[in-house]
Amino acid sequence: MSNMTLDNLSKKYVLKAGFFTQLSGRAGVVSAVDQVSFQMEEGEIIGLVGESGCGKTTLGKMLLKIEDITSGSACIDGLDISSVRGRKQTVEFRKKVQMIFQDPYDSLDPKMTIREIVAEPLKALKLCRSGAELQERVSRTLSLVELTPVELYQDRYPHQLSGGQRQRVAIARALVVEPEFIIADEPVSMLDVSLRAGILNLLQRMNREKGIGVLLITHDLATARFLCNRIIVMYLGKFVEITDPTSLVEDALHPYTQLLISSAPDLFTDTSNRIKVEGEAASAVAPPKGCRFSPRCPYAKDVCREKVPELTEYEPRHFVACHKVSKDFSNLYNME
Amino acid sequence: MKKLKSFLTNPQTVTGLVILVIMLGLAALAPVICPGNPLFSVGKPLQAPGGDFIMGTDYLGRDVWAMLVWGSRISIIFAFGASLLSLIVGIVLGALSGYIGGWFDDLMCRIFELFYIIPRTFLVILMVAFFGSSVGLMVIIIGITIWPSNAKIMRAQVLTLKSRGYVQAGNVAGGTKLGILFKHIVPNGMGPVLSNSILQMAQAVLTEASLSFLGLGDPNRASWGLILNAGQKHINSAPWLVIYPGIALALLLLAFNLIGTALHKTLNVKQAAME
Repeated sequence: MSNMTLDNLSKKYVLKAGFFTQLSGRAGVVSAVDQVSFQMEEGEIIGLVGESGCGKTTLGKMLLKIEDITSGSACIDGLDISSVRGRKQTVEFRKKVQMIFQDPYDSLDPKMTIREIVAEPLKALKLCRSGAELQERVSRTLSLVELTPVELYQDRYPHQLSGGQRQRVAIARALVVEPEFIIADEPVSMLDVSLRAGILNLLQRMNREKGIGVLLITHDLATARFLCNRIIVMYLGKFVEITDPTSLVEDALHPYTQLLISSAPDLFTDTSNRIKVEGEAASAVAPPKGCRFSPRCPYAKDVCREKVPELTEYEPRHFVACHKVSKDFSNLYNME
Repeated sequence: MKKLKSFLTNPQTVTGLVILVIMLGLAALAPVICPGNPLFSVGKPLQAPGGDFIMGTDYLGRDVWAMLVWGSRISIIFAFGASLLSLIVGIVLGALSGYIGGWFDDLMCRIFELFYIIPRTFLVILMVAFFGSSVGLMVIIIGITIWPSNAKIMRAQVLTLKSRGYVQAGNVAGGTKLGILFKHIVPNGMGPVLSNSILQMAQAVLTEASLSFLGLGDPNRASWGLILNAGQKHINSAPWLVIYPGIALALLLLAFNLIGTALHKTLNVKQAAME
């Protein structure tokens, strides 16, 4: 049905610099996503977790061809994304891969009715032969996301709906073409907590009933735990840990993941033994040599500042990129 | 819809619309109100207002009221013709310039500036001298000299709107670049361009009147500028020749300015509150 393979995928932005900076050869390059690799299995819901600016959204946009890929490759269903060229292939690609945008107050055109918004992909991709078929699919999808009765909602404008209803419209727009793979960029972060569960359950149902693969981009561990089969933890453009939700919470290996879990607000945890962290995330313009987390890592040793840790399978299906836990480097690490 | 209601119930808009509707009525019903050619002599020259001629006659014995009524047609044609042309050219070029960006944007901006600096009256005089004074030609000339401001406004609108979420969503939905530009970006950026266009209508009317006043208008058609032109030599003995067309001109310009400013205010103040 749907799978995704990332192979050394990278995105670099060249900073626009003034004339003299360019002369001195110090024009900055932001490496937003740095050589990430991952193999997603069919029908999985994958969570991509990390702090703001770590490159999660950039990664999602590359998978949608909104951003160009700098190097490496990404395949969805065996189709290399960078080979998609021209109108015909783009149309085929858009039928397969859709996106749910983060901000429902920004992603719906204020001048269009709900019906027009949901029908837009069907029209653009020429998926319906008649007006009746179009209306039928729009109605079906709107009732799927529980915007019922459909007649009541379909002729309204986005500003007449609440945030949760708007986000349902955004989801309906992604689902209406019956894609095989959905990238959901923070689908619930703009919503009230009371509405989140409804949207997440909807995504889960789509995944179970239709086998739609989902890449859930979020900064919220709780959301990812609730929904995902596997979670990728990203830090400053690198994948630092990949595992299933249970082992992520109970058995996190990477110091950054431990920090994330420890800092999640929770009523019942004793706050005194939280992991404290110094400093800010390093800049992606000049990332630290070696492990990108080393400047803030409480366990960092010389080897961490010199050598980039590889993502290795520490336990079955539990990948981590850290010298402290990696078998290959544990000797080096322990020697010091 | 709330915006539209507050715009339409605004006293400025109401005053402007009432004047405009009266003018449009006069222009549409000219053959009914004043049958016959308004440029034919129908009475004694320089007759004062009152009696048979409510606005008097000019030095050739032509009825000023009839010329005024028929002249409103010319003013309306210029107002809507020139601003429509300016609207279309301005929107298309401005939108493409902002959307494509890069060297194309640089080039287009220089072209906008080139059209900005053309002295409009001078160009029209030149064209009239070459091609004669036909209404169509003059509408086109005024239209192509006022579009750059529309283009600049549209370009600025596109620059702010093209990074909006619904534009990216349109891309993911499978829209083509041009489709996204004219379906999502242009309709959402139209407001300020429209209010500018209404102000441009006033500009077009004034340009036409000044050309006719200078004797560069079409001499075979009654226009307000033509009456003013005929009246300038007799301004001491027959002041009605300049007073009535002057009032008509001022009222029409006032109407356009009221509507244009009201629209501008509605869009600016409420936009921030809406979003």
